[in-house]
Amino acid sequence: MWVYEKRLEYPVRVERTDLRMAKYLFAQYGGPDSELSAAVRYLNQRYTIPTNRAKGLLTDIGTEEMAHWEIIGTMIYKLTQGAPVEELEKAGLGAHFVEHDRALFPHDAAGVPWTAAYIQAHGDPIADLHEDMASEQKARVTYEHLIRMTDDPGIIDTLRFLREREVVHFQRFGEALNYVHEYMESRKYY
Amino acid sequence: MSHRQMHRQAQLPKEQYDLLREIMQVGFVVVELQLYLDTHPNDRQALRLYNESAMCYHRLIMEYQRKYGMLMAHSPDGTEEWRWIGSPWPWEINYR
Ligand SMILES: [Fe+2]
Repeated sequence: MWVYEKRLEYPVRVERTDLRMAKYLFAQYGGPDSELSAAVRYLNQRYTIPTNRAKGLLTDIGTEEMAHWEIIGTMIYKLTQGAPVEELEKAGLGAHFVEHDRALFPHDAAGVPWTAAYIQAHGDPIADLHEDMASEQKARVTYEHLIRMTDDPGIIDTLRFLREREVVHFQRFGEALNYVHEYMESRKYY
Repeated sequence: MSHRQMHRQAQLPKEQYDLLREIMQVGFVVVELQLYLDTHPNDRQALRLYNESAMCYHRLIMEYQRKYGMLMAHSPDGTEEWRWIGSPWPWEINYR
């Protein structure tokens, strides 16, 4: 089970309404390499991964990704709420308004809805952990692209935090992969 | 109700906000050490740091909850009112 803490993992400082940036941030809310994909991928893979280290890591990183999804949602919410329809339309969020008003929805920066086809689970620890490491790198580079699209110091600060987390997650998954290799070698010989 | 009315942004009093930020900082140390320990379970020094940080974290949470109401679901709230839904939601707080 999970227990909700009524706080963000990291603060979201927003200087002003910026609909253009909000539209881009949907990449990390419901895009292929989004925080949503990360959370579902890890929390779904953990049942069949063989080592306790990897089970712990998938559970704990998957949980942290849910907190990151909340941070991205908070950013989009703060950047869009109260914006007039004409402004939403000008920023390319007209179609979003028609289908969702100012509600959030897990789609990517271009409006394509989230799909489980973005993620995989092979039941093979080597394949799964490699997928996880790749997804952390893809999320890292998406954050780097997002950082280039804004000059709002508050947004940049939060995006840098999230980018850094992807680097740490990549590192931890790499360590879990090395241990899985050792584990599989030892099973071969004994 | 118009959108502007529904759009709430709450300015927490300085003392409450500072405590919340401290909880966020110490909470982050706990998360980071937990991930590290998942792949370094035999690192005694990290485990000691984890225990210290987690203890500090829970002290801060208790202090916050005593003063301002529940922060963590399923916590006891000794007052007469249900403060859980009274405090601003994380996306409604004006961070500074
Ligand atoms: Fe991540």
